[in-house]
Amino acid sequence: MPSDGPTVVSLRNIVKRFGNFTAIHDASMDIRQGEIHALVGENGAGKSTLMNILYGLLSRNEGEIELYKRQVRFGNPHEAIAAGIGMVHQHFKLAPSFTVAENIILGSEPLKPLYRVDRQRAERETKAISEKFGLNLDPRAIVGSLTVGLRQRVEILKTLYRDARILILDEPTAVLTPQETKELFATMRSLADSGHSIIFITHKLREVIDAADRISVMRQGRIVATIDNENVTAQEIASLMVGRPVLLRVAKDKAKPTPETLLDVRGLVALGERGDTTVDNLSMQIQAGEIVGLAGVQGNGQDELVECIAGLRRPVAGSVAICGTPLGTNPRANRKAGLAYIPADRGGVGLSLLSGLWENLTVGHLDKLRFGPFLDIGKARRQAADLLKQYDVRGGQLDKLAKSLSGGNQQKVQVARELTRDARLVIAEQPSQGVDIGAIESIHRILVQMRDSGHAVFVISADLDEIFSISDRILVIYRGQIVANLLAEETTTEEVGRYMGGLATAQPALEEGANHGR
Amino acid sequence: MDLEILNSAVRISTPLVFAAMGGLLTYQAGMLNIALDGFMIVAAFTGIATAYFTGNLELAVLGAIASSVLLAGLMALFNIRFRAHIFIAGTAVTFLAYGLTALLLKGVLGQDGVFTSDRIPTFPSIRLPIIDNIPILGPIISGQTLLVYVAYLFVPVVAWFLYKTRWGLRLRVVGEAPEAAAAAGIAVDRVKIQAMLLSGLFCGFGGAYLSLAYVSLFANKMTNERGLIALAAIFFARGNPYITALVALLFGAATALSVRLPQMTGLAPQLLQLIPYVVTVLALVVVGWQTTRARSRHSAWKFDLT
Repeated sequence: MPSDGPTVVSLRNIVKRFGNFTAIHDASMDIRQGEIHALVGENGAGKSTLMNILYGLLSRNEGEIELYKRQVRFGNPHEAIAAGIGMVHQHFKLAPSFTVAENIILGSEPLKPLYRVDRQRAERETKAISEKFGLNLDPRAIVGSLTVGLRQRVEILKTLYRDARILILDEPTAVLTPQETKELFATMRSLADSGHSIIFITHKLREVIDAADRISVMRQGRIVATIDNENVTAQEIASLMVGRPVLLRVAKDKAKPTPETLLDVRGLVALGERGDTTVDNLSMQIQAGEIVGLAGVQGNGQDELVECIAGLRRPVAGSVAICGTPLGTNPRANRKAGLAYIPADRGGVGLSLLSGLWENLTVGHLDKLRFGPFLDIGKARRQAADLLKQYDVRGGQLDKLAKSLSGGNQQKVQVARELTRDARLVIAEQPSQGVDIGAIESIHRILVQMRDSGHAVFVISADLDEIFSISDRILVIYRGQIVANLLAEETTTEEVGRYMGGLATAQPALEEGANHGR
Repeated sequence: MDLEILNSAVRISTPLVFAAMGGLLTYQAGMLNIALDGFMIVAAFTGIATAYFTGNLELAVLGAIASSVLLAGLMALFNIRFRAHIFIAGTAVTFLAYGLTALLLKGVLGQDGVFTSDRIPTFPSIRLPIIDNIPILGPIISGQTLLVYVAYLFVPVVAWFLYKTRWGLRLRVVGEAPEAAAAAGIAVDRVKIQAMLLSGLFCGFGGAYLSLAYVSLFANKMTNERGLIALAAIFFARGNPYITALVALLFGAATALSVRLPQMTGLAPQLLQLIPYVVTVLALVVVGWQTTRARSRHSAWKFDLT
């Protein structure tokens, strides 16, 4: 329900240029007191740039900002903070080995004589403020030991400790599990109810519709619409964002799986980082010609399962076979057996951010590009150029560093590299994380094409929408075991959600693999 | 005999403790300061030269500290202002210090390699009133020179500053998460410069102690890589001042032992002089082993470059 509080922030005709490039053309928006205002748009639309201008991180070339009817121009974030604006960045700015209280008071520490930090007061105040806004946090907990969702609470509390009345949250749900997202939205609502204004940058449409009061849509540096969140559909917002009608659910025929098993996991047991059993006697199979989605709340063994399949983690027991070849723990052997792996950690595992695009596109294809003992660089560059064109990597030049690309285009680069290898099992981990709607659409289309050409596709995603939009068959993982094996068209998000939460009991027939239901 | 070894262990460890306290502050501020030897050698030279020309020990110590802090300022300028990599800056500053002191030794004091003189006053040893009479502890602790006590008193002082004060909290956050510090409005560079200058201050004491109290002479490169050994102690203790001092003391004990053992055992002194370095290497192996074990025992392959 849109709030009709007074306008607290007003951005008027903001223009921002970087050299010859105009990032923001004439953007205007109003933020009212007590509202949750979603700012949506594709990557590169200018959402973060606009908010960084409001927060004082960037200066503007033209336009005005009014805060409580008074014109302001912040030279740096500290002035914005002093004026009551807080921002929670996508990448947290926390010191992991320090306590929650220490992180929150940092920079405005309560003192005892001799410039000593008054720890007791810090802890007391931290506790008081976290209770006031229903954010349950132990002030003495070490930040590094907290889950991502709790760390985000620390960031939010930091702004509240400095009396922020206007909070900017930059892609706050990108790192959260569905449950944590729900809790964040509850927090946002309670903050809005107590008179705070919240600007919520995102590109996840369902969240916008679930959480926002009003929605501003940005496209190519312009605010193209500000609408009340009443009777709006995700389809309408997506079309506004992209500027053309888009398909949110990929069109595909019914899967025609063949009896050929391309991934065969039997009795797999693996330990997590802390030495606890995270994958617990897990068995599953994937056939050629089907897309299988793995649903589950983060931390139920998905990461370890995928690492075992990729050869990155040594299982304690059990076996993994790819395309009929039994494998050990050697990423190279697993890839050779026919694995194409699109990891969730693009920057760490998937790509070398400090290498050029052609180099990133060449690794994994070296056997084909050999010239005696050397690498045929000319051929490698030609092949990379073809891939950049074929997979529509925007701004893709051969020698550009991978880190200079947006998340969506980085994803396209690793998809391009992996899917053009001669590999029949495709594992895509969080394929749409941090990726534009347009790019999600094309990545999903590519995965469906892979399926139709006889590959087996395994998609691991924390996003149930994604699981449902692409999978033929859905496996649910809970505490390291597959607790459900469902056909996508015969189940509902509610049913899968129940299995994810461990609320429904496991189906007894699952011990011997996941092939029932067909 | 045994107590004498411990007494000299305390003495031998003193310059290490000074250097370690200096290196510890930069370590906590996120800087690997490999110029500790450079700071100390300059201080040692300035100390001896000032003492020779003025005959005043207080002035000599002050001069030593001033020169070392000045060099630390140069290091801060290179590393923080001009963004030179700290390893390069540290190497440059250390070489500069070695070269400059050798040059000035020849140019100002007219000597090659070693300089000493009767005109250089010495520190008296201090008999501590009550402690002197305690058995065992008395002979070890009492009867040292003033700077020895200063060194060990700095340990709790540094710990207090690091863990109790606002300055210490900010310093540690700057070291661990500079972005978090900057986001909280802390002037990261200013804190780093302060840490570097204080590092110079402590090394100034260390250098002065080396040339004026430990011995009464100046020799080229007389710091003998004590700065690097101090760094090893800091890494072993992961920046905890008390443990760092203990490790320094352990190293001192190993050195004292290596000096005495040849007489007692008849083994080749060259072999026994290895003891302190073997102890250092073993200590670092233990740390490295523990760290990798804790980190990677259950983890997947990591390619963490960013």
